[in-house]
Amino acid sequence: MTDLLGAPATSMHPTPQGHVVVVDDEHSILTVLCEYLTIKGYRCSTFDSAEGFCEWLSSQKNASWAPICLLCDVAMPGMDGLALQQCLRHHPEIAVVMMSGAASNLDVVKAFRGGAVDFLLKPLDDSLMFDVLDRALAQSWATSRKQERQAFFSERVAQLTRRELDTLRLVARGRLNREIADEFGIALRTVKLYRQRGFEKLGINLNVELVRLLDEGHLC
Amino acid sequence: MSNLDLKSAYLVVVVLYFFIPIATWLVLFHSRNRATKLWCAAGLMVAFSTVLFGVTVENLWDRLPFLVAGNTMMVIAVLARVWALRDLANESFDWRWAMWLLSLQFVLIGLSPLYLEAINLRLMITCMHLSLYAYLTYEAWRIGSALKNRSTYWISAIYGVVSLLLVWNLLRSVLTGTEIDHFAEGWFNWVMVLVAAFSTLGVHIGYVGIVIEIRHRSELSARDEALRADIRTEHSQQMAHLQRQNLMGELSSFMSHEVRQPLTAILSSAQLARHLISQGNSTPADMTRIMNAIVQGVNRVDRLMQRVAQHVRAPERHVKEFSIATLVRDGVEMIHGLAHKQWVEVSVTSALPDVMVKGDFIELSQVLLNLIRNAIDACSNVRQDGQVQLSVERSSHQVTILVQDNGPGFDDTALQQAGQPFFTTKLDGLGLGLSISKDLAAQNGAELTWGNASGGAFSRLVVPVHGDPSRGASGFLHERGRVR
Repeated sequence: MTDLLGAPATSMHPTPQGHVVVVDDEHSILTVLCEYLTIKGYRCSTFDSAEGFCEWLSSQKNASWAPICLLCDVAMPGMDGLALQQCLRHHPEIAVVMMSGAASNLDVVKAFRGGAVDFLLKPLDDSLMFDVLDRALAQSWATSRKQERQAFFSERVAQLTRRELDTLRLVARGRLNREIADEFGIALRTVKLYRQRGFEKLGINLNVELVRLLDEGHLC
Repeated sequence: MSNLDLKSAYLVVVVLYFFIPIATWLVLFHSRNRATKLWCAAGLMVAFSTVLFGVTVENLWDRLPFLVAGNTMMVIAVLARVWALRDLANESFDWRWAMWLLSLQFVLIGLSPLYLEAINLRLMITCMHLSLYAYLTYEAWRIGSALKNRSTYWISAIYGVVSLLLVWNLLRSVLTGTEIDHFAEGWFNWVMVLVAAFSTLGVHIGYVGIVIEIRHRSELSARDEALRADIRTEHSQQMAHLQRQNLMGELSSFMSHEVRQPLTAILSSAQLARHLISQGNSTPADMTRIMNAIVQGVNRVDRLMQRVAQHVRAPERHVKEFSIATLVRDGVEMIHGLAHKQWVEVSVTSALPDVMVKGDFIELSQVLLNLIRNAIDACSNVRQDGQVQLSVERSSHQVTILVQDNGPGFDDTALQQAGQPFFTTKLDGLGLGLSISKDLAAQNGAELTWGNASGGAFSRLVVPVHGDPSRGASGFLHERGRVR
């Protein structure tokens, strides 16, 4: 989960088993991309409509599928790529890469505003495509790690008592035990106790990890 | 003057009165319409009338039957002339009041012994003739100005002279108390004779002149019309072609998107093949499969290019049978890109009946694309949720394609002027779409109308069904797709 310093594993390369989902209404494109991606070592799923993908998505409850990215065509009958992007707002761990054969400026702007990692123009250049997909998968991995960390520590922090939380906050701000004892009007021994219990509950050992948690806003 | 006497002169005049109408009839062999018949018959009637009036019997009252007959013929002759002139001017002639007039004169003259004296009878007859010829003069003048025809004016002038002579005769008799005697020697009657002779010549020549002028004018205008129609068709075909090219330009995003799809598949296939070869793990089976995909892709691009080339081909017409469903589907597909770019939704809201129609597919396609394009333009600038809906309805003899948008609709000026060449409400519009579409539709036997309805504007294309109407009912293709 976390390494020694509590840093999330963002520096780790996404595994070659990154999942790429391709959505395009053109079947010949789906076929060839799927084959190429598989040969390159990615896991590939294809859908010929945005609606099809959404259906699949809703059937995957609580799956941890990161790293995962979506390679999606803009112009499709029915729900188009940009609309699909809006639907995925609740799944920030799915990185989105848009592609198009005839994109207007507005399309591109909307795609980036909606959080797309990149916008590829058809016909696709393979080396550029793989670079972008790797970047997208890395982003997906990072987002997913962050989410997990968020969930993990929220739960842990909720288990702290009020006193423990207050103490840890001041510790994170660099106060000495003695100062904390004076401020709260409690014994030095009590402060040390709160500290120890707090650290245990949070599962951390070092002050730096605590500072990080403060930065990340968990200790509020 | 002694060698010639009045009686011989009258004889010559009578001969002329007979001969000239016959000559006119013979000369106008190419236009023996009702007017000519009436005119020449009138001429003959005048001849007979003159003969009857010339019967010399001492006692005026014994001459009465001749007078009645002669006068009746004279009245008929004048009225026939009026009728002829009215015919030439395409005006109607009310022969019922002519009958009244005839009956009236018949009664007046027939019963004259009862209330008139001989001298007064002559006066009355002269008055009648005067009024008849005065009326004829007036009619000829009026019709001359209506037709803008010089010969008719001449006829009017001649009859005017005749009328004046009659007035003179009348006045002379009234003022001097002498009886009107056409056979009395004297310069006046010689003048009458000469006028009679020249008048018959003049009016018949004038009539021939009218006929010639009318023919000439109608020939000119027919030639003019044919020439103009020629130019119009030639120009309209060029215009339609230009507009078609312009339309294809606007749909270029459709072209580029559609072409890029198979191109993407081709490029990615080639890149995959290259990768496999570089990794050294390519099997012949894999390679074959990939090459096949590439070949397929190339063929698709080629077909697409052909299709576009068709739409901008040279302006010759190719009339054939095709299905309305194909026309609508093709049109919606082509406009898809443009609609998407302007964030307008184009949808087909009814089933597409597989009805066969006959016409030039490209031309009708152009009309439909123009209509949909106009609808898209109408609602794209005004609102975010622009919607264009197509529906197709069939009846036994025709198919109706309705294009409805939810834009602002036509305003009053636009409603009046739409369809006129070069009228447009678009900032960069040429204003030719609707006028050309109207022409193209008509050329294919279809009718194009437009107006405001259901919170926007609509345009309606009605195309006649081709072939056996009952055949179309069985082939129904359900198409409830939404194309964006």
